[in-house]
Amino acid sequence: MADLTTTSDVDAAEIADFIQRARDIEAEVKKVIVGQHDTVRQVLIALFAGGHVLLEGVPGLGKTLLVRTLGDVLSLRFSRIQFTPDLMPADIVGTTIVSEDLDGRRTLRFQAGPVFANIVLADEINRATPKTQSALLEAMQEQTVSVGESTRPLPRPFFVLATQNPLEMEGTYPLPEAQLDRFLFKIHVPFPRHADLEDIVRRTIRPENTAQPLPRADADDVLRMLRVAREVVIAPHLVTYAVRLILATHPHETQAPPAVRQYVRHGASPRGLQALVAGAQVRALLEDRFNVSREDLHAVAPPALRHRLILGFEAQADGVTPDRVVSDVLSVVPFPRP
Amino acid sequence: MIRGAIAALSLGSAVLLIGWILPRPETDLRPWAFALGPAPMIAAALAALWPRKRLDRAAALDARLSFGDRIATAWAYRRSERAIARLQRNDTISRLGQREAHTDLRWKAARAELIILGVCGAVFAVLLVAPSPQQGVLDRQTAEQAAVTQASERLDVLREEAIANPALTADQARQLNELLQQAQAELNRSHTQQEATSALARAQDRVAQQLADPNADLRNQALAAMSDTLAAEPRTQALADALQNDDARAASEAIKELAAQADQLSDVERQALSRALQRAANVGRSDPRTASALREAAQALGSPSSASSSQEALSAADAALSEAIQASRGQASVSLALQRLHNLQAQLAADSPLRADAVPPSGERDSGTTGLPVGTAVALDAAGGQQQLREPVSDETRGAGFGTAGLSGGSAADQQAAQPAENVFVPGRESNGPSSQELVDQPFTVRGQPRPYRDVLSQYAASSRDYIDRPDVSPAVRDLVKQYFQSLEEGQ
Repeated sequence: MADLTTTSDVDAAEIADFIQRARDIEAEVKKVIVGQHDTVRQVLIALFAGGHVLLEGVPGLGKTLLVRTLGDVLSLRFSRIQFTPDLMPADIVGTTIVSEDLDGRRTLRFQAGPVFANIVLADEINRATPKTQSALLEAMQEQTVSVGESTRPLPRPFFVLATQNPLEMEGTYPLPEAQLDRFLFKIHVPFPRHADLEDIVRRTIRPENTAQPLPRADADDVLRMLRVAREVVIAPHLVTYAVRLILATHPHETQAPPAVRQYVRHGASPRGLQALVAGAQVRALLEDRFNVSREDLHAVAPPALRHRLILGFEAQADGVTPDRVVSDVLSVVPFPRP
Repeated sequence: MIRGAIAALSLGSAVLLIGWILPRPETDLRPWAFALGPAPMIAAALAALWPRKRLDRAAALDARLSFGDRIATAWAYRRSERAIARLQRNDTISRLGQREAHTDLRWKAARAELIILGVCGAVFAVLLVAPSPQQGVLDRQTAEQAAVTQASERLDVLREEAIANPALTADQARQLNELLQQAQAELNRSHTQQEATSALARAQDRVAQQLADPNADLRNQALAAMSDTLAAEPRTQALADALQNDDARAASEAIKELAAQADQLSDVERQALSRALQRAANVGRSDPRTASALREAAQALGSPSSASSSQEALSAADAALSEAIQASRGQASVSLALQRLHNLQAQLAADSPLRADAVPPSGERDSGTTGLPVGTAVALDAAGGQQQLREPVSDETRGAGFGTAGLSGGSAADQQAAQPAENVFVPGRESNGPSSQELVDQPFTVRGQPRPYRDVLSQYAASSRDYIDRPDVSPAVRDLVKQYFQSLEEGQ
């Protein structure tokens, strides 16, 4: 457990600034994105927790628009990579080319790929080959790119927001578990409700009604917000509760609910625990709270854990989803007494 | 406290439920149910009043106020100087200030707990008021215990009456007293009718083994036959009556009278008296000692010896007869005690109300000889069934003979009680049996006209051979009968 009495350089003004700025960013994004409040909230939580996001949803739900809007609101360098089967790793990270200067001398020069941006949209990531997908591994985890003998740091902040289509599985390469684990959240983008669809139609008919998002933060602001988010306090018994939740996803643990024992092959990794707590910290601030509560843990548990549970064939046969298993875990694991 | 009440009602219900599963009296369980109830309440009160960690209380307050774990976190980080911790504490205090304890912390029972409490109370009330399904079993057990107690009391009365019987010797009375006391102790330890019945059966076995004389039947038959034979001679009529009545004193007086008259009798009269005694000795061979004494007396009277030898022989016969009569009466008393024990056992087994010294109906008796007291004279007919032995008897011996159900020699009340059930005959004693008996149609039996045995011996022998050839006659009896007639024919 962290030292509860350590001091940090985060002051009250920065904390208040975080709360206000986060509200402004969320409001600006919602100007463009119709509905999808939970999705927007979860994406922001993941961004301010310093994690990457895997957005899963059918085409046309605004996933790309959401990421682009975020880039606009945050005044960050945004790049989009459309993953296709013939996409090569060099197409992502960049390559060394021969260039000729004004004096006619030829030199080798690194041509940075699209990954060198603050926000990278990896569109339909499951359409690229595993080799290309793995090119993102180092970038996502170490936030560096190694080409040849040199390692180049990526700009900070660095977020990868990948999308994938759950329906068209033919010709795709499902992401390996190791790569899935590197995403802080896996967010399901739901189909819009009736009222949201009507609003979408109105904006389509009269584009002038669609407000343009204003930049509300820059890279420095985002980095500061990342630092503030990590300062949110969490009581010891809540840390214990988060650990219990993670352990309960493992089928061989004593506190695992029956659904986990029956359907889960492998439970969540320690990264899942980190994602759970980090997400809960950001959510607490977004809820005008300076401490993590059990509601925060419950709220972020599905996006933080669903892609970290490896289900067995029996779950597939019974139509059991990871979300149902997470729900069972949340309902079964007892809240510890302090 | 609500949980304590739930636990108390559950515990009480569990205690009462024992009475629904096991045959335990509800009156015994109810005090336990009420006595155990306060324990969970006290435990719950102690648990409620037990000092808790402040962090625990803070978490409980968070839950009650829906405070998002603010209070518990503020307490956990109460010493932290981080800006966010201070902000968190200030925020918590600020929000707490907006709450009112008397409205926001008002005690409110959880609906689920109230429902469970109601259900537990209802179950407890039902178990408390509704009669237990085990009540029938309990009633039966109580009735059985009452029957066992009653049987024990009857056995005590039986014991006192049995040992007070003057026909028993002191040793017999002592043994019978010990055996019946042992039976009563076993009976008192019995909890069920079956155990009590077994105890009584064991008591019967022990009494029969230790006190019953295996030669009693033969002796009784001998005495009865002697009585019948002696009744044919006028001078031995008194002796015959004494034997008939099992009256040792009268028999002794009759023999003394014979001894006194012996010197004054003519030779012919002495010979007649001698033959009468000889015949009695012959028919009473199954009691060898008595028969021997009578035979010696007969020989002494019949021979021209001195008067003193006749007196000595008659005195010896007197002693033998007295001893036989005493033994017969003692055995009759033992048999009576056995019969009453058997009756007690039969009534207990039949679950019928116990009746003092009642003889069970004949239908409840064993069909065979099982359960009959030792010494009971039983005759088997050709089909193997029991039938009364047929003996040629005179009018004076009406109702006497050998019965199928043992010997009865009890009081008039006993005999009256036994009357509707079964006729029980005691040798030499008048009973309520039939006033006349069917005579066996044999050429050598002419009622009221005794004939010398030499005239009919061959017929008796032939008839006996016919009889003992039957398959139901045991080889031992067959040999005995053959030897008997062979010795008679040789003597002739």
